[in-house]
Amino acid sequence: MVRFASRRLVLGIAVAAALTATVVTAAYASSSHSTSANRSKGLTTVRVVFDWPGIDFEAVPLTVGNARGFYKKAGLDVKIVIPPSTSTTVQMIAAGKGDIGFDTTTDVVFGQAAGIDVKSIANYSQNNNWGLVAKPGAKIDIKKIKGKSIGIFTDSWTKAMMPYVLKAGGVSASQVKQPIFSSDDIAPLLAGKIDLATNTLNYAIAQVQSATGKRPSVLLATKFGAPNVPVWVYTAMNSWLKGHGSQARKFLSATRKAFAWSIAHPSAAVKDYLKAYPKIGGGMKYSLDGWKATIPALGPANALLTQRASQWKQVVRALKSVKLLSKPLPPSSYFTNAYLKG
Amino acid sequence: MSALLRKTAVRLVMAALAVGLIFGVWNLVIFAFDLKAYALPTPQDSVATIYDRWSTYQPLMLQTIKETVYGFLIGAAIGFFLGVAMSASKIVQRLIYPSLITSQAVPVVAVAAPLAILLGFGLVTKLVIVAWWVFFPVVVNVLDGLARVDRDLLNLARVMGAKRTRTFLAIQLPATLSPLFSGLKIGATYAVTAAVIGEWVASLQYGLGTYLNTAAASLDTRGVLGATILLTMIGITLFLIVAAMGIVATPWERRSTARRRTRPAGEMLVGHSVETPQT
Amino acid sequence: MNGSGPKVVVDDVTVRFDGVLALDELSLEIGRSEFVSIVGPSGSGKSTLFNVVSGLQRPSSGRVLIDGQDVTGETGHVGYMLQKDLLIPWRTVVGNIVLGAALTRGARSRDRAEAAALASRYGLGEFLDHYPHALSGGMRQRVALMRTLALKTDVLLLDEPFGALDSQTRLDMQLWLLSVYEDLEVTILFVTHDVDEAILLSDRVVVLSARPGRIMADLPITLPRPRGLDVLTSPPFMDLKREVLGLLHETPVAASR
Repeated sequence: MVRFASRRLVLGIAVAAALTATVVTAAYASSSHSTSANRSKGLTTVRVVFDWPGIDFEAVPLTVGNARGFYKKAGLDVKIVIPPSTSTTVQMIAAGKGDIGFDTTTDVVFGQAAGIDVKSIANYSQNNNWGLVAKPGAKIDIKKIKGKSIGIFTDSWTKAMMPYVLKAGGVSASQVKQPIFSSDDIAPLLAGKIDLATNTLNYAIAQVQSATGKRPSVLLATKFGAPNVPVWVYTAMNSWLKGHGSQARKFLSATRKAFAWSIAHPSAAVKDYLKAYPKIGGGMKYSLDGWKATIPALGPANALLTQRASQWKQVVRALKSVKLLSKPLPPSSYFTNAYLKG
Repeated sequence: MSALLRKTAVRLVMAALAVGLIFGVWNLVIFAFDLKAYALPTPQDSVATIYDRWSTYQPLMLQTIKETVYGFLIGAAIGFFLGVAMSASKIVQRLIYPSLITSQAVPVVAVAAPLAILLGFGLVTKLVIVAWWVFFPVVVNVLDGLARVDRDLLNLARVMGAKRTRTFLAIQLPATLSPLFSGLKIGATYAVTAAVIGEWVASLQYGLGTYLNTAAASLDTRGVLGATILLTMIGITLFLIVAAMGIVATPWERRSTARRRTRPAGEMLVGHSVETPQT
Repeated sequence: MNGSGPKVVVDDVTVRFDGVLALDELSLEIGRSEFVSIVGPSGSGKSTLFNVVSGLQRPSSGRVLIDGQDVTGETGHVGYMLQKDLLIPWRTVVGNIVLGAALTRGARSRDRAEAAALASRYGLGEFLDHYPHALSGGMRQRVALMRTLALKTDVLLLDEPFGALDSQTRLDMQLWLLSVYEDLEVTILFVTHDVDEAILLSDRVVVLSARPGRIMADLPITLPRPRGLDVLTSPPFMDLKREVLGLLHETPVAASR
């Protein structure tokens, strides 16, 4: 009987897994193949490829843009496409599986280095909100990190930023422990298995607050000498931009309005977002905490989305110094503000 | 001997052709879909990358091999002893079997993070994850092998006045060998993937798995493919070693006679009183 | 080993499984070096009787004596062979023959040498190092019998040993068993469905009734030994066969005595 019951359990799990796979596949399929569906409404579909294999609160402005009609007024219907992994967004727009990418700044640099003519068309954030995170109530003293264990991710941003941490702490790489994580370093931090976590602070704060109800101790990397380079940007292929310039302009113009609205009405904005993704958007508290923690990185209202040539110089310099980049290109190869005008 | 040589030569040629086939299809896919190097580099580029970056890859590979092999051995040992223990007692079996199945139905990725918090970010966590994947096919196969021992054979052993331990060593234990190696071969193919997942959860040391992530993060698809090829080689090599050990351990499955020969019988008397033929 | 009493005594044995009577107060004596066959319809408890004599099955009541010694419910006193050869695939012919030693005290080189001699003597000399899968069905049964003989118990229980063989091989094996039996001083209890086989091989044929098993007849077979193929067609053989068949099928014997 026991064996029979467990067999049924396995069967149940298998069926559930198969169903989930089918539903997810169908959802993705419908999200990426609905260009024609909106023709009747006279809207042009713009596919934006997200930066992460799961949707989260950084998608708030885009969902607000749809929900509050900013895109519709511009004649657009924005579809968010979820990529299969954390590092395929550039490849997806290069392969025509999306029109606009939501990427990290470094993705653009590596894309250009790999021969993909991808350009950043707008900043998502204006500030570098990457930094160190400690448990709520703990003090972070950058001068006292010797012998501590600092959780790191495998991404290039972390790799570019860690030298600033070590330099400010006056230690060499071997004088701190650096356990490497792929998906989450906050749980080990809260469990006391590492002394410090590294992360973009909007995610760290949201995660810690939803887990403990308290705000973690944080220290922005810019406070100890790291360059103030925005982490996220909107991108597009140069070839796509040539044929879709007005679409890009309309998209960015409407997105700027959606940003401004989302910053002014965080709770309503997050509600719009959760309405669009009721099942997989994360809870209200987590998403609202996250969005509120994201707002400071977005910059002043009058400078939303605008890029600076200096930010690209700085990121290239940082990547070169950790040997992730051998041949830096001039900033104009990486970005253009041309589609923010008008 | 020359027949054996020829057989070996034929096999080597076939293996080379098989690799050639994989490379051919790979190139064909790149050509047919016009894939750029950032999406999928050619196999020759990927192999060249391994050569160029050997000094980078070598320590990573050693780390991953360590996790894979140790984890595999631990998983195999646990699987074997668990199988034997479960076959010895029906109650133990009924108690444990459901949790074993559950352990495999639970996505390891989901429990990996708490596991790392519990066991730390060093080798232990990786070994547990690899062993977790390896032990199950071993348990199932060992149990199966023990269950398939003929009841009548065990009764026969009793009639012969056999001691329990000797029956176990001479009949039950060897009966697990063939299924054990079937299980081990499945486990060997899982082990590398499990080691990569183990590295992804948390690592203090870079291995090929962590390298996959860092290379992917900088759009270094050649680096990713190079590491993937090495991981595949580790998996294939482990499988072949286990398969070869299986062949050596179970000669009766392929040969009609034992390698060791009994000397032709002399005029020995059997224990029975034999009526000596009158001369 | 010595003494003049019967070799095996089954004394008033009753076996009940969950209220079903399998054997009912069955008594049987088998003499030294006697070959006794037991025939009977399916379910007459032949195998149960063997399990009791071998010690695998403790009877509900009654005793089993070997050489006058009470061995009820004790294993290790008799050799046992079934229709299934039960050879161990990873052991060679010699390895299988020495199984009894391997399972009790460990097989020594002397055991292996004896096994090789035994096997060579009875037509297995070329196959000493073969694994069972490389042998024919008949050869495998020969190995199984050698394994039984190597136990050096002088009582052998053979439960339909040739039941799974084709008729040609079966006849070969019967003749071969006769030669082995006539060579050695062993007492054999033989279960079979095959009346020809029972008469050809035995000194006595015991006919059991359907469940519960009772002895319906105990016929001495006085055909002279050594016996060969010609026995099968001799008139006394035919008479015995008619009698046994009559008993088994409960038709009165129109005896031409």
